[in-house]
Amino acid sequence: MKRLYLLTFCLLICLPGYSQAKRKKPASFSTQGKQKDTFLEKQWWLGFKGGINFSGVVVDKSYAVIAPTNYTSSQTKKKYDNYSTVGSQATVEITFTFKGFSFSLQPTYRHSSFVYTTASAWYEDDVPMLELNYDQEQQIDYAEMPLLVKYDITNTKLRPYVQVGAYYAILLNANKAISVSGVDYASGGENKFTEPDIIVGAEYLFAKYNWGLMAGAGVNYHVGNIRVNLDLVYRKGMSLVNSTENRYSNDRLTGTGDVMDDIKMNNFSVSLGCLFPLRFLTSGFTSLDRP
Amino acid sequence: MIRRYILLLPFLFASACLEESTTALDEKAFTRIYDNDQFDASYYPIDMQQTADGGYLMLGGRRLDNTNFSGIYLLKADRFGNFVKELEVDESFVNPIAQLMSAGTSFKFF
Repeated sequence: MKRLYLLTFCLLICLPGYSQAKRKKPASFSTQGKQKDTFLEKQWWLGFKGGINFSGVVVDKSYAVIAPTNYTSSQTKKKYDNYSTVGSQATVEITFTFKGFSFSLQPTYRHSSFVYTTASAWYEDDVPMLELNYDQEQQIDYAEMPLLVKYDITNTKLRPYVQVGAYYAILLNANKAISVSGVDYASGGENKFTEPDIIVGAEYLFAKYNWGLMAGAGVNYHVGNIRVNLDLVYRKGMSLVNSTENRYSNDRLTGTGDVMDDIKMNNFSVSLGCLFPLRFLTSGFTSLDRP
Repeated sequence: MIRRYILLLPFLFASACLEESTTALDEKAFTRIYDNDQFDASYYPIDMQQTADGGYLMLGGRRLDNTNFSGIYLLKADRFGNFVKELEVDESFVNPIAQLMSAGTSFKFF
């Protein structure tokens, strides 16, 4: 069903473009003036931007290694601390603008992370004897291919816009770091301790590909012929970012009671960059005059 | 027409590469640590057999307070490894044999 959504979305994107291509009519002498205007209304932009992002996950299905026999499983359930860690991204933007609408391809390198914690405790006559806390941080690198449609709200020097689109992400690298700490009451008193961090390469624990929808807003500020761009985007993950087949494949992680849930990742990013027009770069032309 | 289908091929490939969770995968491989939250409890595994319902029966030993003999512990899990129930066999029965022996639809450990 999820694949059907992606396929339908792709069909909606590609089929109108195909049909439009067939409707082109040959130019006539009388329409040359109009064609010139139309030509001037178009613009290609090439730009670079970078910024920070925050990620959160939505659990589709929960999984656990620890199976309690005499207490409820909710006590050992993962607690996700969404949007608490900072990631970064770098983007190359290629945008075609026509009459206030822009079609933008934005290949992106995105580094994201998210964290969750688990805890276990053992008792003697309802008195805690040992507590163990696991802080788990996932760091993931993606190559993303977002396709966006933008609409300029105004035609002023400071030009706000809204945008929607979709992205397809390819996993480049992933790591997991687990910090183990605890409190030992059994040896008398309250003895806090920490274990050395467990850091493992976790590329195989994540899905190689995932996709999602994007929506956002931003503003372009025209400085001479270039645009300074502030861009806010929210990504909603539509497919799983974890590997379902390799879920239990790392013995070091499962030994600590860790296994990934079925999760989709949402992300909020803020980017700052600049765009350069690729047409009409003559001394008399200012990009502010045109879209 | 063919060109249109060729355009769709990358999208078909892209959607085919996405991850999906299935019951078959959940059943095929899992890791479980069965945990009792009593600090002084002590269990150790002896044997495990798959039961007719696709689940698992585990035979274990347990520490007894009043004797050096090993007590008997049984645990039933479903086909996904989820805990179903446990049984701490009465202390008058001690030292199970080293494996669960299948006898028809039942298992014996004496």
